[in-house]
Amino acid sequence: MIMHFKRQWSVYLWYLIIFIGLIITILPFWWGVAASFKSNSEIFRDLAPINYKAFIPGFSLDSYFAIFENDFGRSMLNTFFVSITSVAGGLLINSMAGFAFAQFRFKGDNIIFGFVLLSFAVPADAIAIPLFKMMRQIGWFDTFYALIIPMLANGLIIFLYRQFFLGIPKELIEAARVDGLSWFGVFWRICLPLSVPVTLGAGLLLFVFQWESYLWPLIAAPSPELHLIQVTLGRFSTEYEMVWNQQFAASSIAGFLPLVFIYMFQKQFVSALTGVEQK
Amino acid sequence: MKKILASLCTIFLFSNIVTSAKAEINFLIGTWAEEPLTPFVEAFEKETGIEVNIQTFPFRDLLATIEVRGNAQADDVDVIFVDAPLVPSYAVRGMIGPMDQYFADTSVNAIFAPAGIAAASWNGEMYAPPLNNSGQLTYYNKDLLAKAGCAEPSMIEAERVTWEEIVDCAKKITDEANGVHGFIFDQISRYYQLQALPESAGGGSGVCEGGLSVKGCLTNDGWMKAGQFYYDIHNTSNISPKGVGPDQTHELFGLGKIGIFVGGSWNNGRWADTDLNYGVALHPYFEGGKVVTGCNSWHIGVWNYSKQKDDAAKLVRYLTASPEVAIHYVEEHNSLPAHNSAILHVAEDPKFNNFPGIVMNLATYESANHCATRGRTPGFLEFEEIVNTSFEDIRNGGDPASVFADAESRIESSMRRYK
Amino acid sequence: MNFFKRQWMVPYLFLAPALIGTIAFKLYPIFIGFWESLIYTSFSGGAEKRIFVWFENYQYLFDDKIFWKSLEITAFLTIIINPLQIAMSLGLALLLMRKSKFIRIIRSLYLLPIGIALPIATIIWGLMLDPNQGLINGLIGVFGIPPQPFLVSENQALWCIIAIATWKGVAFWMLFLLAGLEDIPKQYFEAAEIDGATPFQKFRYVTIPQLKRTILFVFVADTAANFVLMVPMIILTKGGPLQSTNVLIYEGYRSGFYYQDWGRSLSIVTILTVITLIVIGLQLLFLSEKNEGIKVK
Repeated sequence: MIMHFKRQWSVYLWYLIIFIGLIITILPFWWGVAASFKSNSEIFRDLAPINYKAFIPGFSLDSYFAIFENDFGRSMLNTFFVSITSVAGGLLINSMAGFAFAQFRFKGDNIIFGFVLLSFAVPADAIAIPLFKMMRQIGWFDTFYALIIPMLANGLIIFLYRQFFLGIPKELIEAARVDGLSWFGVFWRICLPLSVPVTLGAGLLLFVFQWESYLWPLIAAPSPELHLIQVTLGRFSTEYEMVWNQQFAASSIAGFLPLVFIYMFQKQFVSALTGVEQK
Repeated sequence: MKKILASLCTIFLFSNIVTSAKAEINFLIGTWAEEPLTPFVEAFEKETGIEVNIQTFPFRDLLATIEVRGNAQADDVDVIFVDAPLVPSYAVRGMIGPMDQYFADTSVNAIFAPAGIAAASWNGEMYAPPLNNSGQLTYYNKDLLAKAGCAEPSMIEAERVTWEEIVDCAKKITDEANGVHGFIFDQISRYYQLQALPESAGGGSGVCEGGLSVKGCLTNDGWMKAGQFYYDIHNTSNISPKGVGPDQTHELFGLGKIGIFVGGSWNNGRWADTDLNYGVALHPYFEGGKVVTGCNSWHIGVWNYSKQKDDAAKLVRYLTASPEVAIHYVEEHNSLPAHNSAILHVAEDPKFNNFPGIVMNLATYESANHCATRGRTPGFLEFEEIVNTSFEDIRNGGDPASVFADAESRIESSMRRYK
Repeated sequence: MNFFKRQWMVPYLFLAPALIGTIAFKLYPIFIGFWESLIYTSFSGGAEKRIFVWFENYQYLFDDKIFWKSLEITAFLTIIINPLQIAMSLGLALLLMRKSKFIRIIRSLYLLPIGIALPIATIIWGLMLDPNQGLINGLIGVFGIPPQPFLVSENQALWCIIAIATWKGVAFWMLFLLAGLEDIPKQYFEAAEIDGATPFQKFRYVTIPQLKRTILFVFVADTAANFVLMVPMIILTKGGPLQSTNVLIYEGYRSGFYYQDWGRSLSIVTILTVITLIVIGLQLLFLSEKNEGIKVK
């Protein structure tokens, strides 16, 4: 009976912590969504001073109509295209490189790995200007190439895969080699299928890089037909002010979509969890 | 699924590679100007046969884009929007070229108001003629002023309100428990608007004569008085709230949370759909000091790396010097004119004699008579950024004397590049 | 496939695509950036002159107290924010391992911040942290705490930025740790349980060692990400009040994109890159397994 009560107690505590955490996590987002259905002056009326009304959505869809008139739809499509291409290409080439670092000892491996570290230690905005000049020289300025190709190779993802592939038992690979599988076969048939969770994590990283990138798409591809989502978001402002409700409307949609993606893949991502469950 | 993706790829990748071989002018402008200017750009195309490709950017992005293109000496830009105080910066760094030759057949002084020409020029040459102008006024909440028993500030020059009077009244209005503050600046902690404080106190623009130094010009008595004033309203009398950004100030005034709002002429019409009962008056000054207000706005210049400078200059002249464009821009964009015909138009059209149209009239008057062009220096980018942060630091409780002394030495050291 | 028969070439072939991309689009621009940091651009006399000055830009930085203050703040931020975020992510990951009817929906809700771009998250938090009538001041008022200045206070602004970045970052890093936890064979826990291990012992002797590789990745990635954290500074504090949030990356960004002083900007960036490399290198040195590739089963 006491045991039972103790266990109950820990469940309640768990729920309490989870609940408080959820409030902190959701509240800002909820406020943004609620504000997206209001006019700008309504947003501020509920804010100064803050009261419960700030968290009750308004009824106006004006901001949503306005953003789609401002080519928000096009920039979402663009961002999806750019993100998905980057994820697909980036996963392939970076996982291959991670495989090489994890499975082989070769001449110069430490130096090359050092350069990989360097490539993600440098702030992306810092190399934007040289990269911009380079894009102009090779004629990729203001094309999708400029948005996608320079972003494919990613030291962080290489590192992530390396960490994961290090954990694959060597015996497994040796056995496959003895069975006559080529190295690419080992990579493609043995290692990659084992790395579903890490691949989803890496994919999410690459996706978020593109989803959040602002400065690079702004300078490398300024044409409206190539605008990515953050660039479009920045345009919901006038000469003297920000159009708050449009910003929130656009980011509500923009914030919701990656979630759908995560929710869809969550089962794969943490599928084995039920097995590890600690009583 | 694969098929769809593949065809999507093809469409996306190749749709934008086809670039037109035809020579056209690339025109970088602010998003806000697209609507009012497009009809005239189209008229220009029809008239001259020169094709114009408008590219729009929000304010910060516009500046960043211009810098990045300038850094790469890109030749795919021909005409750019120039923020008035950046004329010396762009001119010295060779990003825009002098334009006097394109106005040789006429008198520039006959076309533009003097303040606009001053802002357009550097070292005696005109680089980027003005598209429009701006002005600052005092807006006040009639109900809050009446409740506090303050006299309403005046529209008449002889009765112009002083900062001292504003502070007195704002103290009576401020009611922090209910979130009501007596006073706020529109463009809070921004040099554009706050320059009026040291100028009125006799401290000058902050930039020394010649534009290559700030030594002693940011730490003189006028600047100290301005800094102390700014400190006091946020830290001693607390008549103005901290933490509120320039994007939010007009919203607070619109909600009736602010007694007196000193801000730009562009605010006119912003509160039309609220039940705010407000009035407008001339810009304040320090008692015994000079009368000065912020001014100038956007100019248009020819990109120095352009390969079609003559065509580009034609567009610049068309947009800035045509009376029709200037008048239309006033009507559509609610912005002050820099063109003499449009200034005349504002003075003569009766709709600008009554509230709220009178805002345009008053601001035009302020701008014509009390305009203090922002500090003329090629180092304006760093000057402005550092002065802005300094004002914000003072607002948040920094000691004015040491903050401005710090700012002065930082700006001075970054100006070594222009000496 | 003939290529793959030549053993020595195999690793290079695997590396090639990513390596070419890295060299062309990362290392080459980094080199150019470094080169430009050795150049002083002068506009005196109205003409642009680019002068190669060796390390003069760096020397100039070392004499600049803004730079030193900035370095100090960066160091402080790094020491606080990274362990904090890792600990919270790990804690959250462990919390979300529990079985519950609602676990899938709870997990999804916790991931919400990933979808909100940092600029928007920053704007929202900025309004919530408003010193006059912000939500947070309203909430702490319930507990009788007087209103706090938050972002406009020299002493609190950096902590607010840490809070914002943590709100945004924890869910993201938690995902990787969750995936890593999933990877731990459940027999290990069962074996530990048979030995009578307490939950803490299980955590200390099974979870942590098994999760080490994932933690190392998260630690390194998070550190690199936080060294370049500047969106909240750009939007909310501009490095203030009184330079209290003026981290190196922001000073570098501002020197370049605002002041157009690229020599200074790229010197700062180069120094920051070197610092990042050293910190990451140390993390790798101390946290990597020495006998890599050999796995005990």
